[in-house]
Amino acid sequence: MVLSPHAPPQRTRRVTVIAQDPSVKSGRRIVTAALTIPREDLKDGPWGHRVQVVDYDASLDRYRRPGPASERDDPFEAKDPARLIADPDFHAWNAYAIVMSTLSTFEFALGRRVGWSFRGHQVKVVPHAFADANAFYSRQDESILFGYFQGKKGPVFTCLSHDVIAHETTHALLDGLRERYMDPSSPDQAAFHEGFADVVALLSVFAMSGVVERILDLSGGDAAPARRIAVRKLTEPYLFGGLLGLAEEMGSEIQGVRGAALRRSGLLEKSPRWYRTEVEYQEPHKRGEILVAAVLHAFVGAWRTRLEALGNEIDPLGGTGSLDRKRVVEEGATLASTLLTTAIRALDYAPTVDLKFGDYLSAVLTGDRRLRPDDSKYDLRGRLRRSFKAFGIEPRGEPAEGGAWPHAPEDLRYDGVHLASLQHDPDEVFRFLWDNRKRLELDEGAHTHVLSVRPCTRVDPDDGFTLHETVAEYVQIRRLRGDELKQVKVRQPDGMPADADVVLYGGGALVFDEFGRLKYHVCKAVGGDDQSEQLRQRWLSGAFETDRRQVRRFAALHLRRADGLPAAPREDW
Amino acid sequence: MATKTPRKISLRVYPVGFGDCFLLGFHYAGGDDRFVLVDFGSTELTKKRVPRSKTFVDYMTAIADDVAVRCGRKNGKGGRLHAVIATHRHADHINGFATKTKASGKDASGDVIRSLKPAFVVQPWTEDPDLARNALGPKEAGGPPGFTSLLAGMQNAAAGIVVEAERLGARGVVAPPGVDAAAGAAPPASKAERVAFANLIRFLGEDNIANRSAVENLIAMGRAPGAKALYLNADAPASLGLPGVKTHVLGPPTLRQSDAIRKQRSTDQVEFWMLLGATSTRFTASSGVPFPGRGCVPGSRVPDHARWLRDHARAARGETLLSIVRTLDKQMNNTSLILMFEVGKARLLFPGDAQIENWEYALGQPAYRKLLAQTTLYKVGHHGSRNATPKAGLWDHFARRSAAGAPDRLWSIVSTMAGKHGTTEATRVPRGTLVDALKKDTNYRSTQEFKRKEVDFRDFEIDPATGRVQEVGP
Repeated sequence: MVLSPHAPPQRTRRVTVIAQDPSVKSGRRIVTAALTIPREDLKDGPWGHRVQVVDYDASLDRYRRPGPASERDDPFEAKDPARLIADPDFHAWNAYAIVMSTLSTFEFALGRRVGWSFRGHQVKVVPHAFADANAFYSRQDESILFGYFQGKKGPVFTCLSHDVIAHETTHALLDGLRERYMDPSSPDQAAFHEGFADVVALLSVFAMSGVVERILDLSGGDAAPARRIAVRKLTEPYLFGGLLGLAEEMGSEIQGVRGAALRRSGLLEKSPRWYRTEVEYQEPHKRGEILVAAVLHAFVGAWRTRLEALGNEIDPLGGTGSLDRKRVVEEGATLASTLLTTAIRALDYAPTVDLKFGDYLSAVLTGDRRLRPDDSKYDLRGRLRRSFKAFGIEPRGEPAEGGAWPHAPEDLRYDGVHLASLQHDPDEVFRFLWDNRKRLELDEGAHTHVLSVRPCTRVDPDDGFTLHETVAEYVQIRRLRGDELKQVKVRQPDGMPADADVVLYGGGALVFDEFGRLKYHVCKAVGGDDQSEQLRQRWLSGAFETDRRQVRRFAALHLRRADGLPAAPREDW
Repeated sequence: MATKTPRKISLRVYPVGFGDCFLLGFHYAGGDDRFVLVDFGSTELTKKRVPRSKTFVDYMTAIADDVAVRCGRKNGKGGRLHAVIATHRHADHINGFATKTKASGKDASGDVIRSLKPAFVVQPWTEDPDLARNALGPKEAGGPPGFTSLLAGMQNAAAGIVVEAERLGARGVVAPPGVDAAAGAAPPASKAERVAFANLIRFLGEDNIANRSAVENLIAMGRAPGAKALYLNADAPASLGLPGVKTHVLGPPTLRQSDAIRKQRSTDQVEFWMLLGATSTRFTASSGVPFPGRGCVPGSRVPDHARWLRDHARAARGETLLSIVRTLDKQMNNTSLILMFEVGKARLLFPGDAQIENWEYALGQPAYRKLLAQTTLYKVGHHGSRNATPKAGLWDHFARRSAAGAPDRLWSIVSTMAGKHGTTEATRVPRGTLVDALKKDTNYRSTQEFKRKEVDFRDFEIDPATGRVQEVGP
C-alpha cells in the first residue's frame, strides 16, 4: 500500500506470525495469526529501534546474512506456512515480531516506554544461536538466544514457538523493570520470574483468536465444529479441556525448553499444599507452575462467567440458549488480553525486592482496581482472589481493601518538593523520601538509592478512561556482619559465622497520582521477620558460597529443568 | 568342616595417570589364588601418552601382561582371571578393556584380559544390554529395549560437545565479563585462557565418549562359555564364587531406590539425554546443517555490527557446553558400583567414582553405615574429588582413622593425576583439603607418587584375621 505524503502516519502494522508453533494445526494447516506491532523503518535483520536480530550460530560458528528488509507492511502475508517454516528469513521475522509485540503489550499495560535492563536500547535476538534444546535471555549478553535441535520428525526451531519467544522476552522486560528479582532470595522470587513469564506467554497466545478457536475445537473434540454452542455446555471443565488439548498439541519435543506449565496448571489439583508444604514445589519452575495454575483458573472462570452472562441476555431463563462460536472465541481472546494487561500492570505496584506471590496478588488487585473500578463484566478480581486462595496464596495487602495495598499515609510532607520534578527526577524523589523517612518507616542507617522515576498514562481497555500516575522505585542496602544482624531485628542463621559479610536489601515502589500525592508505598523493610526467613533460606541454599557463580542464570536454570537433576549440596571438604 | 576362607588378601595398585586399575587377590589354602580386576582405564597417562597413541596402548598392554603373569600365565600360556569388575563406563575406568583395532595386529590390553577367561564380569545394573530403556531397575523388560541406548545418547552428546569445544576453542570462547555493548568491543580473551577453557571441556567430554570396543569386550567376556555377567544394584546379592568373602553392593541404587529418597524426574532425564545425543550427532555432521549455503559466512567474517554479539554468543555457548558436560560426567559417575569386600575383619571399600547422589541411598541404611564404619582399606572415590567422599555421612564415621603408627590404622589409596580436573580450588581434583585429611588420619598412598615410565605397581597385603594392611616389597 502506498500512502499519500499528506496522510497521517501509520503507527502500527499487522504482520503474520506462527500463532503458537508449527505443531498447532487446523486441519493440516499450521495456524498463523496477525499481530499488531509498532511500525518503524527497519534495517536488514530485521533491525529496528528496540530489537536487532543477528543470525549468528555459535555451534557452527556461522553468520547468516539477512534478506533485504521488505518494503511491504506484512512481508509474509498469505504465504503457505509450511514454506515459511523452511525460510530462515521468516524465522528472523517471526522472532522480531513476537518480541516487539510483547514489548508493545508491556508498554501499553504500563502506559510508558519500557527499557531493557542494560544500557543499550536494542536487545539482540539470535534466532539460531546454537544446536541445543534451549532458549534463554541473558542480561550479560544483552540478548535472547534461541536454539534449534533435532526432533523426531526433523529439526525443531525454538524461534518459531510463540510462547517460548514471549516467555524469554518477558524475562528480559521484567529484568529491566525489577532488576533485583534475579537476586537469590526466597523460593517465591526465583519462581516468580518463571511463573510470570509463563503467564504472559500463555495469555499472549490466548489473546489470538486463531488459538482460541483451536482451544474450542479441542474442547468439543468434534470433527466438524458447530457454528453455535449451547451455553450450558461451556462449563469450566469443558473450556479447561481445550486448554489441555492445546498443551498436548503444542510441540511436545520442545517441552524441555518451555516446561509444562500449561499442562500442569490443568492437572494440578486445587490445593494449598503445593505452595505451602510440598518440597518438590520449592524448585523455581515447579513453584512457578502454581502461579500459572492460579491465573489460568481465574481466566477460565471469568470466561465462563462472561459467557453465562451473554447466555442470560439471550435467554433469561437459562439453560437452552446457544452462542455464536465466533462470539465465544472473541470473548476468550478479549478476556485474555484484559487479564494480560492486568497481570503486567501489577508490576508497578509490586515491591522492588524480595517478592512473594502474595505481594504480587495484592499488586494485581491494587493496579486493576485503580484503572478498572467497575469489575462487574468479569468479576476478575474476585476470581483471582478465590483462585489464588485455593492454591494457598493470600494477598499480603489490606483485608479492608479487599486484599489491595493500603493507601499511603495522608500526613506526608510535600513542602520541599516540586510537582513537575517529582515526575521525572530521581533527586527530587529522594528529597521526598528523605523528608518523610520516619513517616514511611525507612531504615535510616541504610544506603538509599532511587532507581527510577517514570510518569505513565494508563488506558482502561474497557472504556478508554485514562489514568496518569508516576511510579518510582528505590532500594535500601545495608551491609552487616553476622553478629550485627540483630541491630535490624534479623536472626543470624545457624552456622553463620559472626564475621560473615551479609548484604540486606529493602526498598519500595512509590505510586504518585497526577497531583503529585503519594497514593501507594509498597515496601519491604531491610530488617524484621521476613528478612530473617529470607536470609535463612539464602544461607541454606548456599548463596553465600563465593565460588558459586550465576553468570547466565537462565541458561543454567533451564538446563537444570531439562535434565531433571536437582541441585545437590556440595560436600564440605 | 571349617568353611573355606582366604588366608590372605593381596592388592596390586597400578599407576595409570588419570584412571583406575586395581588387582585384588584372594589366596586360599593349597595354592588356590583367585584374582579380581577392579577397573582398567585411563584418560591420560602423561601429557604425551594419551589414549590411542602407541605409547599408551603399549603401556596398557604391559599392565595386562603383568595381570596375566600374576594370574598364573607362564611362557605366554594359561592363567585365569577370576572376575572383572567395571564400576562404570567412563573411559578412565574401562578403556583398558578395548581390543585390537585390526584382526591381524598385536593383541591389545583388552585381548589379553579376555584370554584370561574371567568367570565373572561385574557391572552396574544400568549396563545390562537387555534392559528396557525406561527401566527403573534391573531385569525390567518391556518398552523400547536398551537402557544402554540412553547411555549411548549421553555419550553421543559428549562426542558432539568435544567437536564444538574444539571449534570454539580455536576462536575464543571466553569473553571478559562486565563489558557491555555500549562500552565498545570487548578485548579478546588471551590465547592461554581460551586453550585452558577448551581443554577443560574436551577432557571431560572425552572421558564421556563411548568406548565401543571396551563396552563390547565386557559384554562378550560376560557371555563367553563358562562365564557369568552380573549387573548389580544396591542391595543385590552378589555371589562372585569367592568362598569366605562377602561382597556387599552399596550402589548404584535403582531409579526406584533413589526415588524413595529424592524425587527425580527420571523420564525427563531420559528424554533430555536422548534429545541432546541426537542433536549433537546430527548437527555436527556437515550434512545436517540447517539452511546450507543460504548467504552464510564463517564467524570470522561477521559484519562489524554483529561482532560484539558473536563473541558473547560464543562465550555463552562455551559456558553451556561446560555445564552440560559436567552434568553428564556426574550422571555417569553416579551409575558407579560401590562395592565392599568383607573377609574376616578386613573391609575393603571400592566405590568407583560414585558421587554424593549415588552414596545417598547406602548412607540412608543403618546396616550399611555400620559396615562402612569398619572399613580397613578405602579406595578413595573419584580420584579424590570433592563430592565423592561424603564427609559427614562416611568419613566422619570411619572407626580406624587414627594417628600415624597405630597398628589398625585405616589405609587409603587414591589413583589420580593432578591438573586435569577443575580450574578453581573448589573444583580441583584431587581436592586439597581431602588429601590433607587422608594424610593426617590414614596411611595414604597416591599413584601420583609412582613412576610411570615403566609399570611401577605397588603391592599390599591384608590379613583377614585382623584387617591390618601392609605394604610389601620395594
